[in-house]
Amino acid sequence: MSDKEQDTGLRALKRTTLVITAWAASYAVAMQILKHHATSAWVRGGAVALAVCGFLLWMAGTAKAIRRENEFTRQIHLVALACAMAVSVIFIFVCDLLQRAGFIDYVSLMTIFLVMTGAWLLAIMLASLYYR
Amino acid sequence: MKNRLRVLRAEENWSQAELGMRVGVTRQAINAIENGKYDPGLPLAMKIARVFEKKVDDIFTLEDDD
Repeated sequence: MSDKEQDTGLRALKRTTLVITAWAASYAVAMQILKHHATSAWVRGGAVALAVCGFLLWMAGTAKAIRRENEFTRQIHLVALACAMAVSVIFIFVCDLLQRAGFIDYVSLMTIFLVMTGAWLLAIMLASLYYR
Repeated sequence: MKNRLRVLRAEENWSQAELGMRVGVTRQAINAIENGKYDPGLPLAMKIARVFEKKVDDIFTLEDDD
């Protein structure tokens, strides 16, 4: 690996670490505020805005990182996103039907979010393996 | 799409990683192109043609079912 590639990789890793940390920190702070200082609507609204901003920062950072990749890696991400989207839609559809049929209880939004994220990461790994 | 990438690379005695470095992609990308799993976009195809000092048509060929 050349020095230039290594520098680029290190910078990308730093950026990724930074945005993930910012997202995690904003989420943790927002949760603490909602848990302990939930009296004022303005404070609660601020906590929500903070967590959303942290998440948007992570999304922007991830999108930027993918855009900086070469066309082949972008293709892998495109395939992975399509797979993750398909898995998420199927999961939501099946959960909805199972709920209506009375087989399962309410599925939280956080569960759906985690399934989507997990499917996305798994799809990236599988797509990378396929093209290896 | 068919391509002669493996043959041309062998003629130059380059590894997949070396060719990848010359055109700015990973070894996996070159491997995927050689195995027909991935058809490169125009910019990458032109970069590949340039490093081999050939035309894109000399390396990549459309097949009937493309």
